[in-house]
Amino acid sequence: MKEKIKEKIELIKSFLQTFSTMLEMPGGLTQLINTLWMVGKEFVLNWLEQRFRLRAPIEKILDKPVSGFERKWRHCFGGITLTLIGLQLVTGVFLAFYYIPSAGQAFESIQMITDEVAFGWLIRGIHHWSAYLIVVTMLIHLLKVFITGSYRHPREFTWVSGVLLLMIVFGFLATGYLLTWSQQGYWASRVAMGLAGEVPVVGWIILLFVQGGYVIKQAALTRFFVAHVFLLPVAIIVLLGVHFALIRRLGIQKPL
Amino acid sequence: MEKEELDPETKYTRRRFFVLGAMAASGAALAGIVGGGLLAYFFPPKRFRKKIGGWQKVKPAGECPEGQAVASVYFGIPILVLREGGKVKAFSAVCPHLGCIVKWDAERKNFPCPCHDSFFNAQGLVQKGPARPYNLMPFEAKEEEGMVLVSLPAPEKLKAYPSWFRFAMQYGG
Repeated sequence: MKEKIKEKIELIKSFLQTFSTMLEMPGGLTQLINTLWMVGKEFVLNWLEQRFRLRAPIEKILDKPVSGFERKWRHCFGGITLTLIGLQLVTGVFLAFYYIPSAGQAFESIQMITDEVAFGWLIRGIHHWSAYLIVVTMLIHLLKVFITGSYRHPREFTWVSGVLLLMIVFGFLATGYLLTWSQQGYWASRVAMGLAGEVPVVGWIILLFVQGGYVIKQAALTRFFVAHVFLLPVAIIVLLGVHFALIRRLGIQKPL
Repeated sequence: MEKEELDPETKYTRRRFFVLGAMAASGAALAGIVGGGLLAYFFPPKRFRKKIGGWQKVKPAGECPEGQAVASVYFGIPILVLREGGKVKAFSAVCPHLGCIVKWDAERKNFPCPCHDSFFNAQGLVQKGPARPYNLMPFEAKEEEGMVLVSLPAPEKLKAYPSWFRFAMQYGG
């Protein structure tokens, strides 16, 4: 036992000796840091690889060749939209920490987020503006796909899932607008739901299921909140999964 | 027991057909029960669908001067109580165009809507603007024991209005 410990101490001593001689050389410090970084990285990566076996799949994903025609600026709008949606999910969770979905307190709680909470104005501003930006980038993305005819065989269902994503984004906008419980949001929702109520025969049923009553009141705020915060996020995440899986399997269409 | 004969065309025995049929029927019944229950859950309860109506005190008569329209609320509906020639009249202040709140212009003796420039005269009839052909909805109004009382008019009077307006008047707000 004692000998083994002695051996280890000797080993550490020799390591330290090497380090000190390296440090005495010109540029020795950078060299030392480099060596330690390389050895440490390899050690950590091996440790992870032995336990999770993720190296091969990650390398496959990261090393996928991208051909020249795919490296064009016009292909970037889908990615920008995804980034903005990610931003919305994060800032949305942040806002949910303070927002109160009650007719009496919703507007006040949003005022509090904007005026009192540290950086609340920033979080709300990002959520507000990227909501509008998503529409812009999404429509540019849609126009590009439409003009270049990329929706054609065999990518019909990439297009279909994309259009469904557009509908979900519109759903987010329509429900999020009411959540501020401001005059603008309230009356805009009244007008929009008035249109839904004009649908022949089933209009009133749509109203009752969507807004929990014939007129927009607390029940409507609750339902819009549930849709905005639970149902639509789940739907958009699932559909984004489908959209990207299809893009990965079928690739981007080659230019004509 | 005699062995059941297979129908060479369909390869279905009576027993298999019966079992499959029973499974399909019970599956459909289960789906119906669960689906119906879910629909019922999301259908708002009665309290959320209750109609409003009846006489309601909205303002002391002394607070309604001649030639003026005073704002009040009837079951969440903004209303205007107008006194002309000693008699009180009441209108919903909700513009039947898109739901903005109209106000009383005492000089011109009309109700302008601030949103889209509709005008209604002292009888609540639309004079110009996008609210046409809809008039302001008149309430029944009377004075009793120094109070102004207001009541929702008969349902037939609401029939002419668009559904969002009708719903707002029938269910309050």
